[in-house]
Amino acid sequence: MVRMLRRKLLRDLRRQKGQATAIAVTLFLGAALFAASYDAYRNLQASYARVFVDLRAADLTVVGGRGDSFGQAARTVEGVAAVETRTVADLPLRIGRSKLLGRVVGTAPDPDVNRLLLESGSRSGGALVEQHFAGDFDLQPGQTIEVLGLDGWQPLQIAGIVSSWEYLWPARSRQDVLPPPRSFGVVFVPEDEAAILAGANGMRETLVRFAPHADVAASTARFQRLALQFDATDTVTRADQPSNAALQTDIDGFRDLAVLFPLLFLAAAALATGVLLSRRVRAERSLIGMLRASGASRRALVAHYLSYGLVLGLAGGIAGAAAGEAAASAMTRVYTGELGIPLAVTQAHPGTAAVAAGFALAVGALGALAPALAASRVEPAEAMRGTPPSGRGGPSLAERFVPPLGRLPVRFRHVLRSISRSRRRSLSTVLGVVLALTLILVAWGMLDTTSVLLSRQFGDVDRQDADVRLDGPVSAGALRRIEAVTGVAAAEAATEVPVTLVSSHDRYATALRGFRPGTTMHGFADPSALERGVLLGRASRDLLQLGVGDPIALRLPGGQVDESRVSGFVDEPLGTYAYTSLERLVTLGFDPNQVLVRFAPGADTEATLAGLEELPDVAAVTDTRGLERLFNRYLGLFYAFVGTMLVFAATLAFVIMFTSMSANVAERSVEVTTLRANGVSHRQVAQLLRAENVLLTLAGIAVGLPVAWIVAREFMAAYSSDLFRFDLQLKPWTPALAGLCLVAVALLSELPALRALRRIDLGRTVRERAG
Amino acid sequence: MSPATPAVPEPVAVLSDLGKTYGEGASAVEALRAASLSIDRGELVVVLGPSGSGKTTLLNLIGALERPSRGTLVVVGRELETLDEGERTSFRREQVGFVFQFFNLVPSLTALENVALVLELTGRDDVERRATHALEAVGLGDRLDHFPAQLSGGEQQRVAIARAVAKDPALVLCDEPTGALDLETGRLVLEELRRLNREDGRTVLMVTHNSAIAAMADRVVRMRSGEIVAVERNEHPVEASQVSW
Repeated sequence: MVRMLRRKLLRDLRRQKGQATAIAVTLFLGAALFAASYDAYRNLQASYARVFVDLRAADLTVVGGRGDSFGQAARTVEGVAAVETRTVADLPLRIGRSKLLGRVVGTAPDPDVNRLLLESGSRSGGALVEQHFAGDFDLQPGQTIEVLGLDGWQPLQIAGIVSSWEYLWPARSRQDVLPPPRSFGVVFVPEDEAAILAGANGMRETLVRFAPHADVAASTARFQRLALQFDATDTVTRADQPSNAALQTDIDGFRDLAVLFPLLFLAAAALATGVLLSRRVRAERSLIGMLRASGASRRALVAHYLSYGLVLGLAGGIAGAAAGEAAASAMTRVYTGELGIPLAVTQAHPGTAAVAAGFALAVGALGALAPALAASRVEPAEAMRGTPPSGRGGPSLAERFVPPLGRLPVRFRHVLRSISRSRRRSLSTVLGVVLALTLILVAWGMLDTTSVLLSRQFGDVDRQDADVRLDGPVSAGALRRIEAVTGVAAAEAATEVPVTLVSSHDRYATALRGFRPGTTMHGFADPSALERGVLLGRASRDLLQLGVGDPIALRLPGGQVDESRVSGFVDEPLGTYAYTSLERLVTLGFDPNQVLVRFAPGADTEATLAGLEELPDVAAVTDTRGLERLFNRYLGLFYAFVGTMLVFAATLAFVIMFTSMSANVAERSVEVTTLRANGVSHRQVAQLLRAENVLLTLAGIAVGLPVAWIVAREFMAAYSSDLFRFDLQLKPWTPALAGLCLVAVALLSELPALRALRRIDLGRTVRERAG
Repeated sequence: MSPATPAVPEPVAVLSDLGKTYGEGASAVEALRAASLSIDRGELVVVLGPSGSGKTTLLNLIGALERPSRGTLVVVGRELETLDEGERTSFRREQVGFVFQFFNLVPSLTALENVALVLELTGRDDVERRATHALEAVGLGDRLDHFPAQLSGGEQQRVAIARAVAKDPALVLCDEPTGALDLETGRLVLEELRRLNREDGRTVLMVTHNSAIAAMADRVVRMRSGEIVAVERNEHPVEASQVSW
């Protein structure tokens, strides 16, 4: 008996190969996506961990203070493995005619903390250039760049190209995580040379690496207390280090995708399995009755119908896990290659593959469980009578809620009520649409959010086209010279200084920017707030637990502390700056150190930037719009990503709707035959079924939109921190287009079922019903 | 009650050497062989035969649900073997009403809605009135808003009859209409079919394996192994209430 049932199972699957294949493919995609992306995530984490270990990454960086004496004190603290001190200075760099913001970092020949990985050239005999900077300008060992030191532009010969764990992502600071391309570069030079180049502009940093088994949290707290005693301005943990924080946010998002997307596919597969098998159980009621009457146990029947899901889960799961494992290495290579992460770890994780296959198997079984249990509950005597129990009837849910619907022509009422006839199947279809819509809106939401926020950042917030740094104070004459450059429409002096914001709850290191209240270079909802105190970013409001009017201390360079009040908050997508008036900073001794420039409409950007760089007192020019242009250049890639997700979502929705519609038609062949026998045309019957399908799709869209919006919002929130503020943004057309896509999929998915409808042999159905 | 059969017989369906084969080659099954028969307007004809004798195939052919493999078939003046799919649908829409053994009602629609659905889809006007009238005619005037699950088997079959006749077809084709009913309920259904035939003058063709039902027919067509083996005129058909099995 069991052997025969096994044979029946295989033949049944062969007979329903369309639906079975669709489900197996969905399970395959779910398992493959999980294995590939989760393994890639694990590889990325392992790659970072390897970089941290091999390059002896600092656990804590203490900024400012009495560096050398703090370093000596630090070496005596319990749990410390190594301590290094260094000089760091932000100094302009010049490569040919290009002038950009630079950072000169002092380094020992063979440091015990924050080692550098040599990519090419030599460690000695010159400066070591960070790989992203080298890549932007195609720099090679032996070439010369210039740095603006105390004595003007100084040549630096490049000895080698290096990777640093601190610049795996070339973030300038937590407020400037996404510097535009060719706007920022890092150069490592011997410590004594760095000290000379930096002069008084240099910042002393103490790098601390804890012993392998040290309690990191306790040690960090001890050091933070110690750093305060030595007047340090900031302590930065490895997790808060700008590059690491940005990459970790990205990788966390990657992990969420690695779980979310496969979950959607596996859920869809479970639903489709349930629909397919419920139909089979219903069709085989007489057979089940006969088997039960012949002595088959309930357990045997459960096992038989459960095995449909298990076979599909096994087929899709094993193939998916294998394909995913193969894709994981490629995915890791692409990701680490794109980010330029050295020491990439690419290894197979059989555990992930096993989990992926196990998930698929479990999902197959889960989908089959309810129908299998239903089969085991069939009463033999009733089932063998052959007539399936008819539904109880009654007005549809829609008619109950909207009574006028009950007065619609009968064919419309028939459509509404048919939806509630097989509630589980209808619910599966609606859920399938919800899942597909979620997939689409999460992917599309990423694109829209990035696009809208960049447009807000570079349209409403940052209204300048370029940021110019001079080699001296910003004078009225310098401003006039800049305004005279062809293509420049306006220029305005501004100030940016490092600051640590201190409230009674916490402290936060950022940059304080000074603007004149009538500024045209930065968008403020209430520019007069600049004169009343300090405007803060939203992230610092949450962190420091401050409200408007609360007192706040500003720890400025040189140890100066200014007591002020919070005059308001700004909501900006990138960074968490603090703002005050230019005059206030001048009063505190900080003269304007940058000129913000806006170009004339239609000006040649390249020529205007070159014109600015040619001014003798200009030290660095940053093309502020570079990031936006870079994003627009990569828009094709974003669309490819969204397109891929659309295809996946369409597949997912197709599987559910195709399975559901096929079951619907198969189950209603007698009803269809009756209508056809009484003269109703095939086209009319098809229209009734199509209307049901489209209505269910629309219901799914109605339910799915808020669900998908919430999931997409939560997903984007995972990317939000004080570095970025990624509140979900959806363009008005996006939900409409997503809905239209799903309606198109619905119409497509019903085609096989409608073809089957045409193939219903009326005579045969009547003959078989007649016995 | 006097029969509404016209004085001069007028054929509604004429079958000549009609044959139907399912499948091909070795697996071919000849379900109907050289069947010739003429059914007159207003007749109540019972096709009697055991399971597999070809009676449902004969019914399907006359109702244009299937195409004959051989021979000619003229129903209500139309040569069915020459009609395309659209014309066959049209033919069924205008000329034929089907009643099946298992009623085949839509469970989510009331009795009235079940009848109205077919009327609506076949383009009839005054749907509600016609459906109500058809249901009242079969004695279900007080069951209009009942769903199939709230009706007995006999009532469900009468709804199916109302559905078949509401569009006013020339021919009512019944496939084992009492097959799923007990004696009492079955008699009620037979009485209804008889009434349709006698009072409304409808031509009724009923296939059954229940030989007792033959007693109420005007003519009995006996089939065996795909062949019409006898056609007998019943000079004294009994009332449906007298049929017993």
